[in-house]
Amino acid sequence: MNEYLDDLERYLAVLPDDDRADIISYYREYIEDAELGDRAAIEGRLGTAKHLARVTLADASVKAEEQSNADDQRTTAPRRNNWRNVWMIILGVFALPIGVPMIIALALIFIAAIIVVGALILSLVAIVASIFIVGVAAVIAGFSALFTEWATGVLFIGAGLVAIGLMLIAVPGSIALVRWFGRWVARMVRSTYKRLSERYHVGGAQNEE
Amino acid sequence: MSIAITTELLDGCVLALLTKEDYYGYALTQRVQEFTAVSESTLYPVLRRLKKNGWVTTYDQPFQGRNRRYYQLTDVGRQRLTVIKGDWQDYKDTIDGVIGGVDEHE
Repeated sequence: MNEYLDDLERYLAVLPDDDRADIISYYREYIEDAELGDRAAIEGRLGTAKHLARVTLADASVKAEEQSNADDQRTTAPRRNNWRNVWMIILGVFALPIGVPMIIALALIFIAAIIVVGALILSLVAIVASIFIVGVAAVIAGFSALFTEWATGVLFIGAGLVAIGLMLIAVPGSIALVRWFGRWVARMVRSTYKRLSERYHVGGAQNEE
Repeated sequence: MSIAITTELLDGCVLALLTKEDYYGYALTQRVQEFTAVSESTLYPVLRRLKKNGWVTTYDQPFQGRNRRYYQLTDVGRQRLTVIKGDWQDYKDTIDGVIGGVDEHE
């Protein structure tokens, strides 16, 4: 039992100490009352420590987000933290008993979102790389032409340097764009989960409102 | 049964159970599972929310050398239960009006 609870505690490391201690003591008491002797018995009832942590975290991370939105609209969480939330929420959605069609639909939406982000990143990389290659090639061509056709050589070197300069401007801009897109996807996923968990928190039926 | 329980309704059921006696986590989960299919990890978030809203309080009682945390209904929780009961009655009547009506005309 202690081994299971230690694992659970480790998976819940992102939570504040108080919340984590509360969850651990609840499940310690629960396991003792249910007289679950070994780990297999515990996992048969509560699921693996990982699964239990995911379900709990998906709930907690959404709550934390609501809190921070209410507290301060301007604060943006670090990007890595956002992605961890997205991951936790995806896993949380799978743990909700909302039915296979809904899971398939959500999975398709997520896949579509990932493809869109991937395509965007890929095209940015391609544009930046091609500008860079063309720029370098133009500079080299310009130098080799410098001694035969002086004016053409200078033109090519100049054009090449402009292209390389443009690329240097474009790189931070595109990184910022990709970051912004990532945050946007994270927000979308979170609000979808919030709406779902309000409606399907426990079961499949919809509220009367 | 193919009809699943909603969050509101589960809150109401837990509050209603607590009008009769105080429960600890495991006993409450067992009791809820007698009338609806919820997983064993469902009740913790529910109890946490009820406590956060001030509808229940907790106290610890020693049991075999350890503590059991009991959940107790508050006055605010009692008022909340009355609201949920009213909502449920309205909803039930509405659904009966639809489902019951089909039976009478056939």
